[in-house]
Amino acid sequence: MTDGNITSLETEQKISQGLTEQTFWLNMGPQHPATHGVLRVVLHLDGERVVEAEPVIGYIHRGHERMGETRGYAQFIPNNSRMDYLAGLIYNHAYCAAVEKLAGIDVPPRAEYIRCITSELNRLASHLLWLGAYLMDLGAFTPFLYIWEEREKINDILNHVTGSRLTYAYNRFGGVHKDVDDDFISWTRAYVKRQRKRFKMYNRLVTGNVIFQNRTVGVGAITPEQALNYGLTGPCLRACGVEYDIRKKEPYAVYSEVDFDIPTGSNGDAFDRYSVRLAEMEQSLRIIEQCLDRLPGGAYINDNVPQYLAPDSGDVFFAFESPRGETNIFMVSDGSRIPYRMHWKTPSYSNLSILAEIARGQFIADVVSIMGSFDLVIPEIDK
Amino acid sequence: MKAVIKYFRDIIVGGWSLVLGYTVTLSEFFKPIITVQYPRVKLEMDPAYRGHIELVKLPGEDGHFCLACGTCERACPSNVIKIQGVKPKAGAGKVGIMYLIDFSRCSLCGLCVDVCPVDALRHSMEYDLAFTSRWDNVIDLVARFNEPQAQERG
Repeated sequence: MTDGNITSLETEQKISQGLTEQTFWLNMGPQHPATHGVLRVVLHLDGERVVEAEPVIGYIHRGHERMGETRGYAQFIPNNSRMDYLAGLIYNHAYCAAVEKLAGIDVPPRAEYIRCITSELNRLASHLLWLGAYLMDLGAFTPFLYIWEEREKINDILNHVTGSRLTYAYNRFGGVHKDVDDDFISWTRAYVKRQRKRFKMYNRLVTGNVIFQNRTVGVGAITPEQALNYGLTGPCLRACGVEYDIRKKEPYAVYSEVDFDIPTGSNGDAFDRYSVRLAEMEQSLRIIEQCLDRLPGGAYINDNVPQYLAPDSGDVFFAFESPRGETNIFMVSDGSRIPYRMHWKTPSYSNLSILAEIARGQFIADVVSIMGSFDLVIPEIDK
Repeated sequence: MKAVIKYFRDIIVGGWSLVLGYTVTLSEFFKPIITVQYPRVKLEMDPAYRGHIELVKLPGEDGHFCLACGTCERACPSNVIKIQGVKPKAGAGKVGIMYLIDFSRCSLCGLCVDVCPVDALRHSMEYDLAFTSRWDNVIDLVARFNEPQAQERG
């Protein structure tokens, strides 16, 4: 009996010695609430510390690029909102703008302004959803409900003009498919007013909160060099202090005519990404207000666009700013009704690639905080 | 000594941030309720809402306007639409007698409504569309049009 005890003690010692040298790996996802989609991150752990984080993607690959190469130009419109389901209108706007650039279609000024307003509303909705979901990742449930109240207002406004709440398919080649009315304008103005007040509430509830500060300040800090090396764009890059926004650097639509700033951070940590997005929302409100003031009359769609578009052979490159960063479209036309090649470069893919480097040595809980602060949309990574 | 000061300062600053947060949540108690008890109370849809397509029924008009030309069939990105038309008598134009849509594949993009040459299509207001069988998603719009409860909207 005593012998047995001694042996088991020895075995226990051996096991415990072995364990100290051993790292184990843990699958975070594909079905994990903090990954917001089917993203799998393989974490090699030493206790609570991450030795290596390895993102595995491809669980929601649907082949949108290939789909675009097998159907007409107009028939790809509903696919845009499925790529990035939080920025359906922005992708829609950009796709139509790219095809218009390729085929040389004129857009009436009213349509450009409507596109700008709806895109910025969509950007606000996306950032609000991120804010709520991110705070829920960090364990705060109440702000989520308050923030989604505003998002609901945007959804109602957009539902009134586009007829849909998430997958809009609102833009058409040469304009938009429905004109905005006075209700839309007055609701949007009321919303802008209300949202400005709500920022104060967010600051009281979230920004100064001691738990939120501890979870985000200094967590996942990225240097500007790292960010540029990994090709980060959008709020993640601006949080590192790099002033880069496609809306300013290569303005499309009417962004060159409106006045807005590019908010930047300084430390590049999760808290800076949070503050940059919050500041960006205020800039979006400014853009919306200016566009509403200048909204011209006239046609909202160019009626001369053929139903089956067949642009002359050539290619087009179009860059635009989605809520997650710079997105690029490259399309080649061979003169037929179907694009010869379509390629999309989406920002979340590059933003995710830096996770492996900055998650090293962090706690598991901080990995959730870092991933949340990137605002990853998984269908957009996989397409 | 510095550590002690920092300790107490953290408690006061952190505690105050929590108090500030609780004032926000407390004030929300006295605001009107914005949620709807959904299955019991239903929201009215916005007139612009895009449900699945239906044939336009106008007051004072007997039939629908579908010519079975097939433009919507070709415009559809997902091959949702299948139409059959007949000529009621020799020399007359075609009339759609069957308009099938497979709603399970429809992405509600509205391209069919845009391309219709005679404006025979519009979006319906239905939104509670959950079915138990895949075949329940296949809807004949002409049969639906002939039902007595089909909505007449201008």
